[in-house]
Amino acid sequence: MWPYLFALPFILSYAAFQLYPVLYSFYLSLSDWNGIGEKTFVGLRNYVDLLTKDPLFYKSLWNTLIMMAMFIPITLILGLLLAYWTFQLTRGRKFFQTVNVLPYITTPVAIGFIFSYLFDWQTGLINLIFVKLGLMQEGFYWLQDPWTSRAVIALMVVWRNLGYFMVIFMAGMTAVPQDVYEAAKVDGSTGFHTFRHITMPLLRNISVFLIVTSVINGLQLFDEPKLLYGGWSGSVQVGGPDNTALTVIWKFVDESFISNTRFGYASAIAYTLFVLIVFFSIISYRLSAQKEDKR
Amino acid sequence: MKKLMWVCLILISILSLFPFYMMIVMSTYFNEDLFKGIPLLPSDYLFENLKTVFKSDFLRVYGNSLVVSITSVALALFTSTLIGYAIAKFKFRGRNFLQIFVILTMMVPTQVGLIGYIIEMRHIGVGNTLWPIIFVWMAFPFGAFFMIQFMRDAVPNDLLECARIDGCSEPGILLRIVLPIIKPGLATMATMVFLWSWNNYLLPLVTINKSDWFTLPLFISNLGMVHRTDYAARMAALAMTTVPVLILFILGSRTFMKGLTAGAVKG
Amino acid sequence: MKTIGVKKWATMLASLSLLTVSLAACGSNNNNAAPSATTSAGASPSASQAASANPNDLSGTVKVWDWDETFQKGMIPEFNKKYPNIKVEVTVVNPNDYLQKLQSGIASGSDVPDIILGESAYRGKLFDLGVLDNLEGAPYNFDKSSVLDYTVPYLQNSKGELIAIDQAITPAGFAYRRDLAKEYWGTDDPAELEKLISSWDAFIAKGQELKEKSGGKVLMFPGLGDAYIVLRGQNFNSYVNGTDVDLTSKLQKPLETLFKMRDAGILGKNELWTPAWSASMAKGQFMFYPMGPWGPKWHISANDPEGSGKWGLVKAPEGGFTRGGTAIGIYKDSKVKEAAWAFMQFAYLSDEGSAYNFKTFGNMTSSKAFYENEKALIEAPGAYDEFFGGQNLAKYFMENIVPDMKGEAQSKYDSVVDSVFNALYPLWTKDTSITADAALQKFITEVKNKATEATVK
Repeated sequence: MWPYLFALPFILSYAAFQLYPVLYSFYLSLSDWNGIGEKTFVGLRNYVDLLTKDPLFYKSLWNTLIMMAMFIPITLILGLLLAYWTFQLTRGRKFFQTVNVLPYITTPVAIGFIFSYLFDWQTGLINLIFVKLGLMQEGFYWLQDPWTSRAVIALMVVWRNLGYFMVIFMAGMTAVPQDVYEAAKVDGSTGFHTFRHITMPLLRNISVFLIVTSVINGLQLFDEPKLLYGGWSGSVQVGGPDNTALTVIWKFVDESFISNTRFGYASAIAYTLFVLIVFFSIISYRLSAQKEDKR
Repeated sequence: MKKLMWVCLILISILSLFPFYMMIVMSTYFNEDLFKGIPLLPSDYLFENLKTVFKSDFLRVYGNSLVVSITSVALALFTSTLIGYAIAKFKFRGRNFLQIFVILTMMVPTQVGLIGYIIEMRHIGVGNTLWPIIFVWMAFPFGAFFMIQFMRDAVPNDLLECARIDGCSEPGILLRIVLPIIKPGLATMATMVFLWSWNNYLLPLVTINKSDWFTLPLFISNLGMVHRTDYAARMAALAMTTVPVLILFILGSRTFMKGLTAGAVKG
Repeated sequence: MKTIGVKKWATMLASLSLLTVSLAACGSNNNNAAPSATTSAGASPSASQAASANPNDLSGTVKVWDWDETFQKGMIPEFNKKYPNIKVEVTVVNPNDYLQKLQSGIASGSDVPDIILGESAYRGKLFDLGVLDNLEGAPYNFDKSSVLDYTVPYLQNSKGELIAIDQAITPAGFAYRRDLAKEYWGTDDPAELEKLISSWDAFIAKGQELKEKSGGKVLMFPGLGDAYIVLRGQNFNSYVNGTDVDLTSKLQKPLETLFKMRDAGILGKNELWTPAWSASMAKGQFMFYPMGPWGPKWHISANDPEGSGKWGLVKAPEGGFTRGGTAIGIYKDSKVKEAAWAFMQFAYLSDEGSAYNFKTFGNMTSSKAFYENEKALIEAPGAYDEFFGGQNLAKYFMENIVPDMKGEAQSKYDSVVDSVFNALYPLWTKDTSITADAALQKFITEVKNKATEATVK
């Protein structure tokens, strides 16, 4: 009896605060409702409209995927490298670890403000310094160029997550038994060779974990772009220049709470994204775990 | 090679810290002076900016954020520990099902139910209070998963058996034997839930309308927004929001890192 | 060791549960504290009459969401002198979040203000939500001929119901730098300047001259956004009919002029409301800033606190336009309609309230009567006249700008058009190879994307 009792609080609160809203949202996604007037049942029309009549949805998905393609590999490789270097240190290991995790625990509001200040094109520090050093005639319009705007967002994500990746990788390295390294040393394996042939394979599971979770989180990207365009400066640009920074969740929030209150339609976006998340996490799992099967 | 490594490490660390430095430097300027030159060195206006911030409802908002985060931590720990204990340490019908259920729940992004959640909060009459941003943590799938993993490894079955033979009641075992053992896990999860709820932006943004109930991220993005935006004061408020958390983290970083990785490496 | 640990946990759990309990307590308190507004039972159907009969009879708590706390803090005590039993509660809400907060408030049935403000950026959409009461009906019985005629279309929804009053009128001209005008054009007299920039072509020519004479240091406007506000505002034609949105008729000409200005190099590259834009006022990099009556306080003197005497006000080429402007309405399910209406009437329409508003903030009411009854006040120096080199701003607005003002019907697509403009103009600033035609086509496509149910051309 006890295990059931113990499991009960979680299950009840899950049912109340997560499952019910999720199901209710599904019902909403089949209706047309602005939150104030009458609900009308429209069947799958929201989904059909979303997939056939809304180029902005595809654009937001495309933007999200592009930004993920920028930040996931960089964070992964840089995080691994950083972990590897820090792991070899005899002194200062903890210092570097702590310093680099600080961004991860900082509120996104702060990150949004600071980055939109740094990259502001007239008063931003980056441009001011570049101009002062004579590297540029006039500041570059970072946040209003389709590619640099995405790059800045990717940079924000990298900056925030790098330390977290590093710590996870280091934990993996610590988990590798020391005698493996000893044995490798005896065999004459050194530095990069050890890293390539011993450390890397042993970190495969961790990499899979990091890749899959960053795909899941990446598809839900919202805080960074939203706060970059509406944090620091007073401008209220939804989606960045020509919507190149619009992510799926931003579109969802915009449709449901900001530009519109199309609760039904927005719920359909959320559900479509859910399906996509499942799809992409399976793919990324397959791709990253595949090599292991071959071995 | 070694030198290069050091250079890179130090460079990246500086990049990690630089935005924090800028935040603090900028909070020491008079707003209009921020845009006259390149503000790299501290100025002398910090005190005035702090005054501006405290003249607003900053303290109350700080209190709101604390209440939300602490309550969320307590609730999340409570439900997660219980279900974690049940799944990790008991054999019962439906256990496998429950375990799969927990893993599945982890995969559902919170945004999927967001609209439904807000409507539900209205129906139970807590639409515009702090409750909606607390309740989401009551069933925290990652926490449950984390506790299952943690207990499975950290709590020896023999110990539980002994206690049972000695006639301890089940809640007694949990309280007196299991809890002390899993303290590091609890501490880690507490830190994580605290941080996540402290930093949460989207949910308060769409649920809280009343400035009385603003949490810090919302408050700062609204601070002094009319016609003349006082960026320096905002930065001061941001610094006061971030720095205490950073210090807390640095003080407790050992447990945090240990627990954080314990969950991930196994996962 | 072990027992200590247990004790620690026990106390911690205990304190946590205590905390939960106390939190629960404060949570439920809040629910109970929901506005228990009481309207006086014997109030006559028309609040305005009741109000003028005996203000003490009206009571209740009126909730207002406003971004301008200073205004409310000043106005409420004035109001309470006359209506001591009505309590007005202000919540500060950022205009960028206003509609969203309102909508989630209504949808979640939680906290909805009795008095709702609609800033120009979203008022059309607010009107379309159907949450504001018709003010011509009971208990308000508002007479629309009592306000300046041109403002009426700004207060009506698409069904033609009058559902709001104006916070203040917002006819706009240009704030200009007297020092720069004198230096480069030899005069800082508004009447002379009016002649210099009587048409947009003349404006552009003058701008090029200014640019040359100053060596490129001084330009006409800080950015495309400022110029667009004027150009779009001068076209009062309605462009929405049901779901037909005729952008071409509305925007083609403004965009052409806008791009002509950009290509002539007389516009800066600032985005509206950015730090650089705000800072530019004190720096003297630009000659003109579009400005309505609320501008001297919020806009010019706030960003150029030491600029007293440096500024002037002149009419825009080819006529007036509106800049900003906030509509104020009453929530249809409000429980304190009479009290809310009493406050709105006092603060935004009555002679007393308008006089206070004008003297303290420079806001100008839309009530015709005020300009008849308080002529002396308009003639007397206003709060910001000195800042503007002694020019009588109110008089200039009323006599030189208001006469060419026309009304423009409000539509829910206005905010879509605005947000599309906001998303696009930085690109036009950056990439000067984009032509006016291409820009219009892009504009149409983007509006289509955002308003999928509309036919846009």
